[in-house]
Amino acid sequence: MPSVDTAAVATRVRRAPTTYSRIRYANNLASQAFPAVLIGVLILMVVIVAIQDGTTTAVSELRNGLTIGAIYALIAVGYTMVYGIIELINFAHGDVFTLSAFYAILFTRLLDRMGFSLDDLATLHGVPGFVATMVILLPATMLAAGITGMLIERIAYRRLRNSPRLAPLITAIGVSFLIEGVMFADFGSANVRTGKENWIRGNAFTIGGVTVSWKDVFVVAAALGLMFALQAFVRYTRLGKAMRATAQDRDAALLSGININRTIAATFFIGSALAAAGAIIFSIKDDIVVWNLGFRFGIIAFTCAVLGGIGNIVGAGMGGFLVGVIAVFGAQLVGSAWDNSIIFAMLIIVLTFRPVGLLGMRVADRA
Amino acid sequence: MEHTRAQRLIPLFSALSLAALAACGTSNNSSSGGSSSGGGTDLSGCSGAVTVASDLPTSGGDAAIGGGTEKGVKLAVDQANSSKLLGGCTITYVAKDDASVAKGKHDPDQGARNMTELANNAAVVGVVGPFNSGVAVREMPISSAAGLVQISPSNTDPGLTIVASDPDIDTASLHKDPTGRIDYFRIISNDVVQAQIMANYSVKTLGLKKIYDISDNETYGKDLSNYYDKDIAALGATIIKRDDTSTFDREKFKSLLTGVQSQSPDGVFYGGVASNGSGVLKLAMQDVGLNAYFLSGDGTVDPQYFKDAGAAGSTKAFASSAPDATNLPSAGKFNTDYKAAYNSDPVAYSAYGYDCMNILLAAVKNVLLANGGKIPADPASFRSKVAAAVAATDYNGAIGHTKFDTLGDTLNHSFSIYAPGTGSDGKPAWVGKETVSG
Repeated sequence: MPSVDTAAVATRVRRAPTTYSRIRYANNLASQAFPAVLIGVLILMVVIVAIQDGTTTAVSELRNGLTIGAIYALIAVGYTMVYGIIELINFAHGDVFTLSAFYAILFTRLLDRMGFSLDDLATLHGVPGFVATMVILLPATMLAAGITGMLIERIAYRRLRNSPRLAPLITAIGVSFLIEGVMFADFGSANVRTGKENWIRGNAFTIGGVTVSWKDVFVVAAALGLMFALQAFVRYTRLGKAMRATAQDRDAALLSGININRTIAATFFIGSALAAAGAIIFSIKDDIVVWNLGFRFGIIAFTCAVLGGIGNIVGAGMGGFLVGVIAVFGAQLVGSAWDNSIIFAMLIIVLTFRPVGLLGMRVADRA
Repeated sequence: MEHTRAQRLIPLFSALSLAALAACGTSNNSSSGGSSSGGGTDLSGCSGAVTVASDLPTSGGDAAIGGGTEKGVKLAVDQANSSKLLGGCTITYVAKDDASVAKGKHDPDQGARNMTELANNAAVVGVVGPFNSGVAVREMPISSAAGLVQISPSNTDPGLTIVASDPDIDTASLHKDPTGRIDYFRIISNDVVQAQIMANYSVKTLGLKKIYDISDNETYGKDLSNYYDKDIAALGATIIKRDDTSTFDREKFKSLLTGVQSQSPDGVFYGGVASNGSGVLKLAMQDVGLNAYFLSGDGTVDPQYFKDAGAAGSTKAFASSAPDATNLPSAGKFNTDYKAAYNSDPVAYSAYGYDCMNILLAAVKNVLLANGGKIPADPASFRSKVAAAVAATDYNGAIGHTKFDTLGDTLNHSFSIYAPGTGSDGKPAWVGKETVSG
């Protein structure tokens, strides 16, 4: 528990009216023009691809970008929540995502061994069967992942809460390696099929000559739904209010009787549970996971969080979809070997011209 | 200073481990001695142990194919020991794994570390491996500088032996033997031949006109794709687009395929290995509804392809690889022995690993015979004599006849076209269709 620096609290209280809005916005021209330029570039990319390769290609790539972006968004939300509240880039978060996919596999296998096949339930009984599967699998996996997240915070990060920032950052990288090692040892290094591919089948509609499957619709809708639920949770519930208060000023929150440790643990729980939901959605969508998947996805999701404005939940969601689409179109235009380079170049550009991100950072005014 | 101390300890350690391993070898021998036929009578006075090694990716993503190859190598050692191929001398076998935890598959850095260790172990007279051309690029300078002979069962990059055949490889820099001798040999033909055979098959047999080519951006895959592109153009068909990717997600492949779908390719070629997602690409073709032929090289002829692709892997796919030893009459005995020893079917390169080791052991035997039935006292001269004996190989083995040219390449230029079929365990597997000579 942090010791209360009364002088600092007093200063903050005195400054309170001027820092009423905790969202730090951009304040120079390059930075103010950034969103417009970004959207402009995005539209230009879509148009060029449409002219070069036909509208069908452009629309299908848009679909590909949005569906993968939905996954990035769900992971990014976890990054942004943790950063918002304790200003830690939780590098282990991408690995919690992968670990959750394996939790789901284990849980499915366990039920299967007990004579209850989730796979049959999902595939043989239409929409109600699928909903029932989700009702069983989703909470179980989210709970397991949430507890994992809380344990990580309790064991690895809590003691370092008041250390220099580098210490928890390096610890986070260590935790990431630890989780990856566990998955490597248990599931091997080759791709693992999750067996959820056929849980959703059929095509929803055709647009611009491109068929959009129910799976694509599900991926985007589920991600949006979860993010709206989270946003509502943070905005309207007591715990959500406590989270926001802790994010704004931990000491003041403590003074007003908020249990900081419990609030931070809850943040880790919710972030990890969302990653678990993302992992299940990803398993249904792509069906292939591999032990080090979370490393790349994690860094990409971090980029999404920075693009949206780190600490900002809506921003992270938006960043996810934007990065998904830009990466796909960038690869189409510049060459597929460049897709990761495009994403990380974007990270550098954001940090250079608009470090606060598109929607502004939502962090305490302590720098 | 610590470095030199460690270096000084290496001979001591190797001598100790050699003694320990020799003891094991002897006990193995005596337990199975009853079945021995007593190979070389002239070597009956031979005493001690000869150490041979292999370096193959036997864990991680390459475990299925690399492990099966290593089993072939080990079978050759076990048979030679039980038949007393070297008379009174025993054979000690050191197996190295060049897959690393960091990469989760074959890793050139790990290969280089292994080769340094083997080269510093004065007792080792020859190495079978590596499996991947990219690993060979790192290992060859180390083994050749130490005068240690290396025989690969599967390297197909022409740049390893032929100067200026691969723009990415400085062939001369790989050969560092102080005497200028060739220390690297391989018993499989190269990618130039393989690409040509696959291009011919694509255009002449399957009648494809518009092919989309993707490579995994590694030494092997990129070059195979480059040669294939050239050959396709020479045959009058078109490569509509060429991509190199280093991420192998289903998502990534879907996106790549979407990009060319409007040009409706009738074939997709993958210059890459199965641990880099050959099967995932095939799956993605089904995802985007691209009903084209999937074509690839020997890197795809790997059980991992079916693990990734599932049911989608079994239709409209062809890949070239070294002649399917399971169909070769010359490999009949090997296949039976392998099944008896391991209770599983050999993988595509098991017979190749087996032949490599047998070639190495035959060379060792010739050296011992020429040396009056004794192990040469000087390890360096033992190594150089073995290398010379390997160069003079004229061997009839499981994969047919092997003889090397002056560059260390085999004179056997055959490849087989493989298609998905059913393995003896009832699961999908690559099955050789026809063998073509390049």
